[in-house]
Formats: sequence, C-alpha cells, structure tokens
Amino acid sequence: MKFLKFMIAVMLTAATGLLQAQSKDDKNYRKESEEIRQQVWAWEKPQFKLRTVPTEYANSSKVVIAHHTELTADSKSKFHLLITAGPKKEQTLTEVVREMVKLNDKKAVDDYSDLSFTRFKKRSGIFNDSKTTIYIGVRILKPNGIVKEIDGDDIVLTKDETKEKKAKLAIPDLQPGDIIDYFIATVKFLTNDFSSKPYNLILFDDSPVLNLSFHGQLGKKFALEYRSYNGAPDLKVSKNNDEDIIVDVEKANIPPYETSFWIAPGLQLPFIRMNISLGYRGMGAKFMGASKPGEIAKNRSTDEVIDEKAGNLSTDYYNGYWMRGTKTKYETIESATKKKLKQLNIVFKDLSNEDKALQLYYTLRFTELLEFEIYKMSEMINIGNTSYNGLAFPLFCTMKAAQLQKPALLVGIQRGTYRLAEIMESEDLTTVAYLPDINKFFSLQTVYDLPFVAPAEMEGITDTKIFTFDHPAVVMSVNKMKGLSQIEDGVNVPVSSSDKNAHIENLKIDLNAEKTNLLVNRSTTMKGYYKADVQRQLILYEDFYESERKAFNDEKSLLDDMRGDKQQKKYVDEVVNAFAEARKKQKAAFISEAKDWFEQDITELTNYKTDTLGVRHTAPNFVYSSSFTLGGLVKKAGNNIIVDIGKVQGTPLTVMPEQRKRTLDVYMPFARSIEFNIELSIPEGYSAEGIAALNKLVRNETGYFTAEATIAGNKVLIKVKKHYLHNVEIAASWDKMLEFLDAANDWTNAKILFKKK
Amino acid sequence: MKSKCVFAIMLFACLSARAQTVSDDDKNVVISKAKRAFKFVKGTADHPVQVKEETDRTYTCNNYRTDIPVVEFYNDVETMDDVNIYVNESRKHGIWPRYEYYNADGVFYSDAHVCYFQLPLIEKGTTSQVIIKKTTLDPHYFTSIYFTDNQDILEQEVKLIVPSWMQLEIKEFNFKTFSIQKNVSPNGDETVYTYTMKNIPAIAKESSAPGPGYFVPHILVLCKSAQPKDKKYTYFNTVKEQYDWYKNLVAQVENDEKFIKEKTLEIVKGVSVEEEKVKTIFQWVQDNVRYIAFENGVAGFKPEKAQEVLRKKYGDCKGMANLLTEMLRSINLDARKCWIGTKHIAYDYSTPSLSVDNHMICAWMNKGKPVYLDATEKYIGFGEIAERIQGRQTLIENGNQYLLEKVPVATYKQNTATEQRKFIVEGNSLKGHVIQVWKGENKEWMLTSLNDIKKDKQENALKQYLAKGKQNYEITNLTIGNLSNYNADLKVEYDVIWKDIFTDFDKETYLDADNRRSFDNYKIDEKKRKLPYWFSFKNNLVFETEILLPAGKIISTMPESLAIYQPGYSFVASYSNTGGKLIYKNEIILSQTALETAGFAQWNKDIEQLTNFYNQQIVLTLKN
Repeated sequence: MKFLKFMIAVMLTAATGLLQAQSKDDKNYRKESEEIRQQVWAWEKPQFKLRTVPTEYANSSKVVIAHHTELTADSKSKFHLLITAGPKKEQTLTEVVREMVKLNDKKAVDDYSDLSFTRFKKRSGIFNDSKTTIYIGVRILKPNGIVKEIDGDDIVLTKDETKEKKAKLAIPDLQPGDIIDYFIATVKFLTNDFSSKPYNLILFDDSPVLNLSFHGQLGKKFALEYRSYNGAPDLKVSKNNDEDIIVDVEKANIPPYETSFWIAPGLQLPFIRMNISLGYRGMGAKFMGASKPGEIAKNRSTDEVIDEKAGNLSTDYYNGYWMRGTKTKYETIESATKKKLKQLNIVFKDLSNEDKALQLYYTLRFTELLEFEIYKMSEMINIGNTSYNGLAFPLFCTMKAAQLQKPALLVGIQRGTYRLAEIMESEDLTTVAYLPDINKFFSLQTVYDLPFVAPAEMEGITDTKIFTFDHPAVVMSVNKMKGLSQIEDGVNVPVSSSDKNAHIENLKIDLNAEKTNLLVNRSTTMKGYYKADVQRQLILYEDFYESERKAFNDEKSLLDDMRGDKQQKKYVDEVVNAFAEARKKQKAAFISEAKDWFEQDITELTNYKTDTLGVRHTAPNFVYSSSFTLGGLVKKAGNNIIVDIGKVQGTPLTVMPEQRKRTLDVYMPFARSIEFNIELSIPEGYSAEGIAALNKLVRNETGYFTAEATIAGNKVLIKVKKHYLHNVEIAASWDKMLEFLDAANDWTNAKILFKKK
Repeated sequence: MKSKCVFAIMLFACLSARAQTVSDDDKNVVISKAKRAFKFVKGTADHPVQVKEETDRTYTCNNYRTDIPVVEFYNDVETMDDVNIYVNESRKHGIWPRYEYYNADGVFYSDAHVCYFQLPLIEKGTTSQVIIKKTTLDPHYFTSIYFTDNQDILEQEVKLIVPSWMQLEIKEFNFKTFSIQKNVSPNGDETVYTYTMKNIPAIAKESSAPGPGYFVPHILVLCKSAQPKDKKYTYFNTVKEQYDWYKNLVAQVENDEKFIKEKTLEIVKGVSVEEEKVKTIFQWVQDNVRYIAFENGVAGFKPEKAQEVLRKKYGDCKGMANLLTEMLRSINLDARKCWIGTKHIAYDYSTPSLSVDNHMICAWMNKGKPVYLDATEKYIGFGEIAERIQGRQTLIENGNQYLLEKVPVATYKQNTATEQRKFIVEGNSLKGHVIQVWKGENKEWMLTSLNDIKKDKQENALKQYLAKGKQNYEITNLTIGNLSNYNADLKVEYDVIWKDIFTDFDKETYLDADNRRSFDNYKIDEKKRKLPYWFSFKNNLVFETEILLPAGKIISTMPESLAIYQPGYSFVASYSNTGGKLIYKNEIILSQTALETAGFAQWNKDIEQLTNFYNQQIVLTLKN
C-alpha cells in the first residue's frame, strides 16, 4: 500500500551508519535477515491467516488483506570520552511493517514486482553516530494454497559503498490471483539523539484495507506524544510491569478512498500522529524542550504548543538579535535603506511607520536577495527558481532594529494543515512578520513578493497570536528566555477576493491573410497570488535588478558599477555574455508559457516583453505582452469561416463523472479569477454571426461564469469571466460550483461564424 | 560490459546522458582539445589481452563561468583506473568523483557503473581538464570509438595503437560530412592509426531519431585475434567465430529438459495442431514471464537457465528466448535461438562484433522457414513482427553452423487500426454506434496501456481515452472484445451520444465530423531538427463515419477531397453524400517509418494540407 512506499521513503532519508568490513557484513546481514524472517512468519496474528476477500472487492486492482506494524524502542547508556565528555545514549528503534496484499490484475503485479530499499545508511557526526539496517522478507501465496518464500540471495545491490548500500529484489513468480505477503524490518541505532521522531499512521488508501493494526512497545526511558485526527480511532496506551509504554490500535474494513482534488488531508482524512523520543532529565532538559522518560502526552494542549513556539522564537530572538553583534546585519539594512532614500531626497525618520516598513522591505529584498556576486552568477540569473520560507524572522528583526512601532511576529496555522486545536508541535505553526498598528503583513517566499501581503496559506485563519519581544537586562535561565516574548491574541487574517488574484488576457485578434489561423496581440495581466509562477518563468534577473536600481535612484547600472570597480571590471564581459544568453532564452520561455496556456500551436512569436514586473506595491500587477500566430481555432465552412472562440480558454477544469459527488469540503489555494477581453476583427467582406449565442451567465454564491459578446463596428467584443469567489467551500456547495465549472467547460464549444457577404 | 538487451540502452544513454546534461548554451563551453589513445597491451593470466585507454579533454569557457557535468560509464569488463581533474590548471579544487551503479530506465539491474562529477569552468577564458584512464579487460568488448561528445570539439586526435601480435580491422562510419584525416604509421612493432579532426559538433539529441551509429562519426574496431605470447586468442574473425562464441556460452547453460517438458505439456494439454501449440506456448510466456533486464558480468551474454526463468517468472530477452526455445523443443518442435540487432543499431553481421546485436528472440522452424517469436513484445500476435526487428539480419543457431537470415518486413497493414461509426441525428446531437479494431503494434500499444491501468478504473479510463477527454462524447454499453488472445484483433464497441455537435447559424448548420484528426498539425521543425525522424512503427489508420442525414436537411457544402501520395506515406480523405447519408472516409498510411531530413519540407506541406482539410466544416441547409 502507499503507506509502505511512504515508509520506505522515510527510511531512505534516515541518516545512520558505522563502517564495517564488507564480506563479514554480508554474512552477518544474511544471518540476521534469516532470523528476522523466521520471527515474522511465526507471528500468530489471525488477520494474516485470511485468504479470501469480500466479493465487493473482486474487481479492485488489489486488496490489502492485512497491514501490521510492530515498533519497539529501547535504550541503553554508554559513557564515551569525547572532546567534551558526556554520556551517549543509544537507542534501538526496530520497526517491522508487514503487509499481505491480494493482487487482482497485471497493474498490481507490476507494482509489487520489485522492491527497492536501502540496506544500510550511515551518518556520523561528533555527537551523533547512527546506523540503519533494513531487512526484507517476501512470500507468495498461490491460489492453490502453496506458499513460496523468496530467496534472500535474490537481492541485488544497486549501490555498494561502505556508507550506504542500496538493494533491489525482483519478486519471482508473481501473478494476478496471488497474495504477496512481505515485510520490511528496519533496525535503527541512534546515539545521543533526544530529538522527537515523528511517526504517522495513515488510515486511508486508494485500495480497500481489510485490517490495519499497529503495536508499539517503547522502553521506559522513552516518551510518547500522540493524537488521532479526523475520526481515526484512539490509540490504546498503557504500561506493562516493566514500565514500558504499550501502544495499540486496529481498524478493520477501510473502504478505498477515491482520490480527489482540492482536499486538505490534515483536516479531512483519518490518520494518527505520534512523536517518539528518548526522555531526558539531565542538564538543559528544559531548555531543549525534552520530554521526561516514560512521559505520555495525549492530545497536547494548544497552549502548550504555543508556549513551545514562544520558547523557540525567544531562543531565535536571543541568539539571532539580542546577543551582541547579531543585530548588526539588520542595522546594516537600516543604514542601506536610509542611504537609498537619501538618493530619493527622502528622510527615513520623517516617514510613517508604514512607509518605513515598506522601504526596509524593498531594501532587504534588493541588498540581501538580489545582490549580485560574480561567484554566484548562475544562481542570480536563475533567481526565479529560488524559494524562501517567508523570512519572517529577518523581516521582523529589520523592523525592530529600525525601531519601528511594535513590530511583531504573527503566528497561526497554515490553512488546510491542522486545526489549531489539534496541533502537536511548534512546527505545525507558521509565522509571518507583522505590524499590528497598521495591520500589515510582510513575507518573502519569492523575490517577486510584495509587502503588506499575507502568504496565501495564511489567508482566512483565525485564532492567531501576536508575539513581540523585549530586551531583558540579563538572561539566566530558560524561563527568563521564555520571558523575552509577550503573547497576545492576534487577528483574523483577511481573505483576498477573486478579483485580486486574477489572470486577465487582453487579446486583439485578426485572421491571417489565408484565413486559416489567428494573429494575436496579447497583453496579460497577472494579479496577486497568480503572479509568482509566471514571474519565475518570464522575468529576467537583469531586468528586475535594473528596475529596482532605478526605483532606488541608484546612479549606476550593475554593469557600469562593475566597470567602475578595479576588482570587478574584469568580469564585465562574462556578465554581459551570461545576461545575453538568458535574454535569448526568454523567447522560448514566452512561447512555452503561451503554449501551456492556450494549448494550441504558437508560431511566429514577436514583440515579447515584460511591461510591468509587478514587484512594487505601487504597480503590483505583472503585465507582459507578445504577438504570435495561434493555430487550431479557425475552420472553413464553404465560403464562411468559423472561429472556435471558446477554445481560447484552453481546457478549463473538467470534473470527471466520479468526482461529481463530493462529501469533503473544498479547499482551494485562494479565491481567484480568469478573464478574457477579446477584440476579434471581422474580416473585410464578412459579417459576424452567432454573437448572441455566446452570451452566458451562471452565477451563484460560490462563483460565476459569464460571457458577454457584442459587435462594435468591425469588431466582435467578448468578455469572459470565471470567478472562484472563495478559497474554501463546504461540501454542500459543490453542486453550485459544478454549475459554473460546467458552464465554463461548455463554453469551449462556443463559435463565431464569419459569413461572406 | 555492453550486455544483451542493454547495449542499445547503454550506448544511447552513454551519449544521451551526457547530452541530457548539456545546457542550452552549447557554445559556452567547448572541448578545445581532446586527445584519446587506445593501446592493446599484454595483460594478466585472467585477462591476457587488454586495452588501455587514456582520454584527455580540455574544456574552455568561452563566454561566462559555469559548471558542466562530466559522466563516464564503465562496467564489469572495464575498470576506471584514474581520473585526474584540473581546474584552471590546478588540482586544488575539492572535486570528488562519485562512482555508482547506473540505473537506466527499463533496466532492473545491470553491471553498468558511472563515474560522475560537476566540472567548474571558473571564469571566461579559463580551461578545465579531465584525464581519464580506463582498461577494457577483454577485446571482445572493445568494439567502437565514437568521435563526438556533449560539447563541440575544436580539435581532436584519436590514436589506436596496435602491436604486431594483435590482428584487427577498422571500419569507418559517417566520416563523409566531417573532415577527418587518417594516418597509419609504424612505430617499432606497433601500427599507429591516428585520426585527427577539427570542429566536430556536439552530439545532437533529438527524439524519434536513429541510433547514434547512423550519424555519429566513429570507428568499429573488429578484433580478430591476438597472440601476445605463445597462445593465440581468436575473437571474431568471421561471423562463424562470433556464432561459436555465443554457442559456447549457450552450451554452458544447463537447462532442465524434464522440468521444462512437464510444464510445457501442461500448457498445451488438449492442443493437437503444431501451430496452435506454438501460439499457446508463445502467449503463455508473454503473459506469465515478466521482462526484467537483469544483467551481470558474462551473464550479459549468457542466457539464464530456462527452468530459472520459469521458476522466477521473469527474465530478460535472452532468458525468455531460451525458455521459449526449450519449451518448444521439449515437445519436439524445431526451435532455435536467434541473435539480432534491433533497428537502433546501424550494423549487421558483415562486421562481426558484439556491437552488432543487442537482442535475442526465438524462431520456430516451420517446414524449414523461421517464424520469429519475440516474447519481450508483450502483446504481439503470432506471426506479427515488431518494427524494431523487421528487416534485420539475424543469426540463427543451427548446430555447429549457423543461419544468417533476415526477419521479414511487414507492411503497414499489420498495424491497421480502424474506426467505424454509424450515426443518426437527434436534435443537435449525433447518436450511434462505434466499432474500433486494432491490429499489430497498434493493438500492442493499446493493450499495454490498458493493462497499465487498475482493472476497476480501466473502463472509465478507456472511455476517457476514446472520448479524448471530452464530456460531450458520452459513451455507454462499452464492450471490450478480446483482451486476452493476442493472435486476434483488439476490438471495442460502444454506443455514443455526441452532444451539441451541430452548430446553427441562421439558416445553416455546421458540422465537424472528425474529432480524431490524426496527424493534425504534426509538423517537424525543419529549421531546428538535424536528424531524420523515425516513427515508432508503420501505420494504417482507417476512419469511417456514416451519418444518416435528417429529413429536411441537405448538404450544401462539403470539403473537397484530399489525396496526397508520397513514397513513404499517404493521406486520403473524402466526404460523399449518398442515399441520404453523409459518408466520411479517412485513411492515413505510413508505409515507411523513416522520414529523411530532405523530406521535412514536403511533409510539413502535406501536413498543412491535411490540417486544412480537417478544418473544413460540412454545411447543411434546409431542404426547399
């Protein structure tokens, strides 16, 4: 099941390992493999004895008959002499995931016909030595009752290094009708590792699951935190006589989950989260936020998590701003801001809080993210490929260093992840720089982002908190550290309307001379959250830099600056060449973007340019234009011409028949709109017909699709609009959404007839 | 080593993995100088004759600093002896080459390894240099030297140093369009073949292109024999020796005849006619043995034991060919193993070498005539032949001798796909019945796609495919005839309501009756493309639609017929109005798969005509 592949993926990224001699390694490995196989096949679990599946699933590609996980964790302490002598704690985490699957078709057989895994992987640092070893066992249960076990020698190594061995196993004699019974056992040795290990149980799959179960036994030094989501069953947690933590959960008859779109798994699908860690009471335990040995925390309170977040942010503040010397970089940004404003004859201190924040934002973006260095030229030219995490903390510190009025961090959950009442750890919360007195947000996820705009994933969230920070005289303890932060109730993050996140096409269209294709003069306006993807594709770093440089009234262009510098001038040629090459590629980027959007043949592209970059709040829209020949939309009908004007939309979202019934609420990235303003010239000697039939209006509280067409002189004017009014709709509104979605789809058949006079 | 079934993938991957990683700025970094030397030397007891290779490439940065990937392949019969890297003439650069298994798509496992690293060019005008030393341990596997690379090469010298105790022949390919000078000179008891050349362009990377052997300048090195000391080693003087080498490997395979016979008899129980037995066994292997390319060491040329393939139910082409042959033989049918090079390979057995073949199939000798059976073609029927082996020379085992035959060339009719529609008009829609049939490689393609879908999603997926994703093409009562007998055609039938297909404007009604539009706008960018275009297989698409016209309407305009006939293809389409029915016929024939560059302009012109034809609507008006 997908879960298993997920687990394999987890294992493949786990960091572990110790050096061993290869041949001894192999012998030991095979011996250990055999031992584990014998143990697992001997499990007395009734669910693994089942051989038949309910008739309702006879047509399923595969049926998971049983899926069971055994997780054991124990620890022992070893004292190691190191540079800084300290006790090392070794943990052994052993996880066995066994699954039995009935394969009903060739596709399922293909999916299970080979297994890839990392046999072992090593990571070693001064304090953390780790090694993970993986073992597998596979059996085939034939319809006639014969059980065939796969020979471990059939494993082949595909990577054979001392630090990592990857292996593959082709499963022999697997056919539709068979049951594959296999397990993957992971033994992980972790030393000096008190970090929390997340462990998730996913209780949905696109195949039916007859039985899913989990059993964990954690040694008394371990700690457990857990929560069930969206109707997932509760874990049964207890302690045995040895004070080990025993965890069990079982769910039977999980029907197949039909994957759909616009869903929020964290809010809608059943799963269980656990955090397992080695408890620690020693020095700095509180500071580390370590759990106590044997501690069990079910449904940790939100306040506790927010408290933890406060601690983390306070530590960041302490180490990243309050400590001597750490503030300097933010003060440098402030100085740079003042200098740039001077070039514009503006005095920083005379500005309002809001304007100060704006200028600091733009300066930080320009000096920190866009700054050109010859040694990272390739990275700068491809800056569109870089994403940032919002840079909440640096933005906050910059505003604080510049002594703006009460800069803060706004903390909340990301929309569509977890409910605030169901968070488990501080990483579940997201942060954005914020100025409470003007209720404005500051975030940088791409270099093209604008100030005042909250990230799309925070729109509409309520129950936020505002964190501000004070300077204490001295910090002596963890509690004092926490006291650096003050927490107040936050605000509801506003939600943008559909017209604010828009893709607007302005198209002036003529027929070509042969009347076989359309000649298009295109101007596209992208607004709001719709911009970034296309900005990445089309904006040249050189143009962006120049635009910003001019906005700051910097005297010299980048190249002139370099020419005037003794060290830098020898690089000018290279930079000129690299920029020229990037500019050459821009045409291909424009063609590719147009092809993707219109889904038709695009030829003879000319006059392509980015008119407004959309990187300043004073000109927030990204506008670009080009001219080209658009194929695929013109048909001949005797002496007349038909233009498939509806196809100018490309292929609007099509909802499949099996997706038309919906029980889950609809989570979309943001409210948005797509509009077309078309001016289609009527060729000389022709009249336009079918205009009235183009008109369409479907509107309801979830959104609308409208088309209005008129004739003005020798032009057909068409305005098409499709608006998704909200970023969330309840399931009951799905039918209403379908109304305007279907209308948009139907409109792809819209045609105009040019009739020869 | 370049093992069976993998060679083609490997060589192409070798050239294209380099090519894949070339940036679009193909003039920014060039190989200003390349020196390659290959020398036959006396080796060890295990590997008495070896080939030492030293390749020295200097890369120059023309325009701006960057870094490029450097990739070098090797395997179990090749060793990577040394890699020296200089960046701007310095060895202080912190680059550590990585050595890993190479995972090619479609290959489960092979002994192919790759050495790779990122090579910086730190500034415009600077150079970086890579010197690689390799050894090929067995001259059998030293088959060719290609003269291109991922970057343009300004100046190159390739030397082949052949001692007097080594006998070989060199064959030159694709030298014509390049200025390559050859010099042969003695050097003591060695003969030195030196090829010098300038301005060799970077290897072209284009989809649907011939294999590199067809266009890349290179030499085939045909090792005949060697006598470094007292003993003489014979390689492939002639095809016979190549055959003997293969035969020797095959002879080492211990097939369990009894076990195979038992299973075979079970499979053909109740079948009495010989040909039917062959068909049954062939399809059984196709259905029950998965293709997994699993190559290691000399096993790259040695088939897996038949009983092992049977036990595991997987194998590569050699294993499957061996199993199929043994199964047929076990019931006294004359079956032979055949070695063959697919179309991707530019050579045949006139140049005996391991590079001339990359595949193995089986032949059933039916009254002395071979019937070719390729079990790696999953859904192909008995007697049908995949394009990739058509017309190819094949080496067939024949005891101590061999047969050299050519696989027949099938016509496009082998792969015919037909669609017949019969409609009546209902309001603004067409309602009717459709029958679609696929043969040959079209059938194979459809069955592969269908079987790649979960069975509970298959019907929906097929409907989506047949409707081309359009919601107004509503399919009901879909029946799929014959998913399981590959010797018969694949057929589907269904009812359809094609909604709102008519468009009314004033007194006229317009109809676009063809939503398939095969090869619509299938143009080739003749400005950019340098290599011929190879279609996957010959094709024949027959599309017929019959619409019973509504009473009260007549056809006032019908598109003019289209009839384009070219040596390699034809597009013929027409509408007719007969007895109250609109009849639309469209037949596209691809009788050849190769479209040469000289033919691109004509092809584009013809495609434009075809597209224009598709863009013509039928016009209906009211009867007076």
